[in-house]
Amino acid sequence: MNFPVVFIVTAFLVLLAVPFIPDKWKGYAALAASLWIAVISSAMSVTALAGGEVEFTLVTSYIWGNIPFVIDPLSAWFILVVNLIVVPGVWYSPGYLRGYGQSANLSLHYVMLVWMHLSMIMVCMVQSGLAFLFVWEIMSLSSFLLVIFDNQQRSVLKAGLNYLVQMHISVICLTVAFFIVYRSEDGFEFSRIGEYFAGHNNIPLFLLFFAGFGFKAGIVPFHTWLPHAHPAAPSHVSGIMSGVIVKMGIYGIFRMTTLLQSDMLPIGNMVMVAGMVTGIYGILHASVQKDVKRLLAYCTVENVGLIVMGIGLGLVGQHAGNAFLTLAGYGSALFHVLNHALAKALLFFGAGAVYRTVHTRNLDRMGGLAKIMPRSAGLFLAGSLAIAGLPPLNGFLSEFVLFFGFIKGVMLADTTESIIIILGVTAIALIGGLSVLAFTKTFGAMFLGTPRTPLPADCGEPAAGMRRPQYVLAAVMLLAALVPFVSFGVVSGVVSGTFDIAWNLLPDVSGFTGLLQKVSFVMVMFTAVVLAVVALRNMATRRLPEREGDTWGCGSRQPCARMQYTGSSFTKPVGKLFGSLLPVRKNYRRVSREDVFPRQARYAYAYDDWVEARLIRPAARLVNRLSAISLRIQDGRLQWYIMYGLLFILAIILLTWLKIM
Amino acid sequence: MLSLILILATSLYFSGIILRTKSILSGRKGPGIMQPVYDYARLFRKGAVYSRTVTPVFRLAPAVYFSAVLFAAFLVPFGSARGLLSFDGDFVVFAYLLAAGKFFMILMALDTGSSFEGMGASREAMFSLLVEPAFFILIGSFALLTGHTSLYDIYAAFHFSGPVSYAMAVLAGFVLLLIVAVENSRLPVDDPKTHLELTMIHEVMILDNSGFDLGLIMYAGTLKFAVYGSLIANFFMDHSWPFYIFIPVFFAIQLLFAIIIGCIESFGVRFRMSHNAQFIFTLSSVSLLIFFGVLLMLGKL
Repeated sequence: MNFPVVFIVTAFLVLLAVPFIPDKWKGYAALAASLWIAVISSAMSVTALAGGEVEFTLVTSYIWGNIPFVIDPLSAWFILVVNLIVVPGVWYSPGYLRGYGQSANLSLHYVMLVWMHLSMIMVCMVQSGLAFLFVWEIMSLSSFLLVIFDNQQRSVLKAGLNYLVQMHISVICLTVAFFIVYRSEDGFEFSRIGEYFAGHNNIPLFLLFFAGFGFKAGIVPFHTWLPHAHPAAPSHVSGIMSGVIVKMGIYGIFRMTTLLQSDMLPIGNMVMVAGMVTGIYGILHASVQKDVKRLLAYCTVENVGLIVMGIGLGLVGQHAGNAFLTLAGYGSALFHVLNHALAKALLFFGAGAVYRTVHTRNLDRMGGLAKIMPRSAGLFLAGSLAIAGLPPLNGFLSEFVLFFGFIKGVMLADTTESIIIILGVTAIALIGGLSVLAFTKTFGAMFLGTPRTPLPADCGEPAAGMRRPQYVLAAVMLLAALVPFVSFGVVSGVVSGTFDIAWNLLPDVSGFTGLLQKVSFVMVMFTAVVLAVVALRNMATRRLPEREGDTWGCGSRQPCARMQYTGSSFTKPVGKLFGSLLPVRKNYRRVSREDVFPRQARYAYAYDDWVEARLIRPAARLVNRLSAISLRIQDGRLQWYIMYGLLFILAIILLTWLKIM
Repeated sequence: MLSLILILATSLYFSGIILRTKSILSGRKGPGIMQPVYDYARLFRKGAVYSRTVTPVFRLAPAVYFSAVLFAAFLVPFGSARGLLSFDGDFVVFAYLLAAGKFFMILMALDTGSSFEGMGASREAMFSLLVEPAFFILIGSFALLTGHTSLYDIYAAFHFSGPVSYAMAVLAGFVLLLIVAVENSRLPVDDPKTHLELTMIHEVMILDNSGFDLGLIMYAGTLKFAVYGSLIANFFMDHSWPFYIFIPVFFAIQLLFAIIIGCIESFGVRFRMSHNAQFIFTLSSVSLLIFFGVLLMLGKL
């Protein structure tokens, strides 16, 4: 069976069938299609991981040539992660969208969900530049349509267009890069890129690819679409985008890394520094946000930073011929791709459940939800622990691998390397600390304390259909944490199968997995100690008197909910400390002395994105000003346009006649 | 196992020594050395008052915090004896466990919905995030110096790297001393003697805790002192010594550590809250100094 054909047929079947299914069942049809795709592609991926060859060729017309579809261990890993996130996401969607949207809108949404799923799998499989750009574009367009589900809102459309424009700047970079290879090697296959790298300077082309994929991955300064698109999109779409679409950018960078032939040291250093900047920038912005989904979007930027740091370390290790560093660097990156995807999807689904209950994303208006939705609170807590990289969940394991790799990297012979890597250690430590701050803030402001604004009358746990996918994700997270023997075992297999390095110099590749298994065991022991202490406490306090009272207000008689610390006040000190990176946009009106009848004073402030404020907006203004010049010849009168056409033809004739061109 | 027993033993008298030092220096007679232990024991037998706003997180957090510190003690070696658990990269687990404990403490403070406790939580989160790089640069430097990545191996190899390394150890002791001051919210970052208006970090976070939970939190604080104290002590204990020298030296160093903290608290003053961040950054710079020192020692610079 030729699976690419099966996929394409599935895509068109869904397109034809979903509009005719009753609204109630559309979501389940999409789920069925998604499951079908997931089962086939996962089976192929498992075959590929087990060492089998999975290759297909799609025979097409002259332009495309024969398109090679290959699943190697690297693509297999990404395909598995995609399936793990997209299926729960599609499962979650009917519950989240219940009561929203018109029939046509829903049909488009569900069709696009399936198309996005398919396009991501194709992106991982296609091994030829032109076809790659095609599926890449389908992925961008389908996710764009998914983002603008709520298209009646101006802000949503604006965020969607922002995403669309940035994705196309990315496509320009990629297209140029593929054509550079085409001109020199006369072919679009990925193997030609390797040939190009063998004969040319590696740095410029790699950087072009890095920028192109960096837009998708959200590497600073290409990250500015994330904090706009994620809050605008429905929560399951945000979860999928943050969990896996962003990872397609990472996949692209990984793929190019496998093709590199030389200059790995300078490239590795650049990538590592880009990762550090991205990580610190992302988590700093995350910690000060008020909008929970915007916060999660910046947190994705941070985690991409960690992943990219891992890739950089892997490159440096490859250059040094150090098998251990290569494994630790690439391994931590691949492992973190999984761990971050799981935790982030869980958090976005949780944020969506909260949004459906309280109808706001503003952390400063929430509070006390743990009493109303205890199960969602528990799930969100698990996600927060995992994403903050704390024991005993899976996020800690990949952070451990990265950290351990960096500490080992300090011992490299080269002094410059030692210094860059110790800065990396500092960055990881700082990122870890800041994510504790960001996620205690998020969880605390959402679920703890008392409600800061009155809750709607009918609030409670979300529908079971929205909770079940979260349980699945949490269970997979737990599994990944408990048996790194399997999860990291697969990762180390992928790394050793993909990167050509003297693995036999590493005394024991499985020893590293063994170490991780030990760490996991230590985390289980830690959990056991916690449980033992809790049991001890319960036993000791069983007979003791217990009273309930008000929170101690330090003498104030009437404590009220608005006196609580909000998320904003919680992170204000950090905002002040790193003020130069976190510009504040204030919008206020004072009551002035001249106001005879003073109007109401108001005060609003929000943290601005430094890159957006200092780089993107000035650039956009420049483009606007330039296009204002060309506006002079565009006045809407048909006569003028006909004359432009005539002038153009005349110019062509003249130029040909004078033999200038 | 030995290290765990010794750390637990130290934790019994550590706070008492600090208190006694402070009382002697201020001309008072002061409580007995074991008084803090009696206080914990009393708290463990007391009933508790819980706020109406709290969720189960509030009851869970003290246990997680205490377990995290206890488990961190499992990882600390004692001279030539390994810690209860010892593996490559154990110091990463050490730091992240303490962070997990802190994560729950911060949530606990936010759970009460009190503005005071929120403020304390905010500061605790910020100061502990700033202190984290100092710890990792420090350990990273020693990993570079010794070529090992577990606490036991680092200490073991450390004693073979010549007398200059003891200069590093003094600097490291200084950094660790101040890290624990930040971790436990003691002078010069925060003053635990005063209440409310002036104590703005740790003590203000636990305003609503009482009974057994409060006892656990207080004891965890002392235990943390003992854990960091033994991290310092390990720098100065040669592995070739027999045990009958080892153990007295260990206790002597812990005693000295407690007395130094007592002296700092007697003669020092608390920084202005806004200056704390700068102060903690200096810790990271001292750690970087150690790192460059190590590079020099290895002839890489």
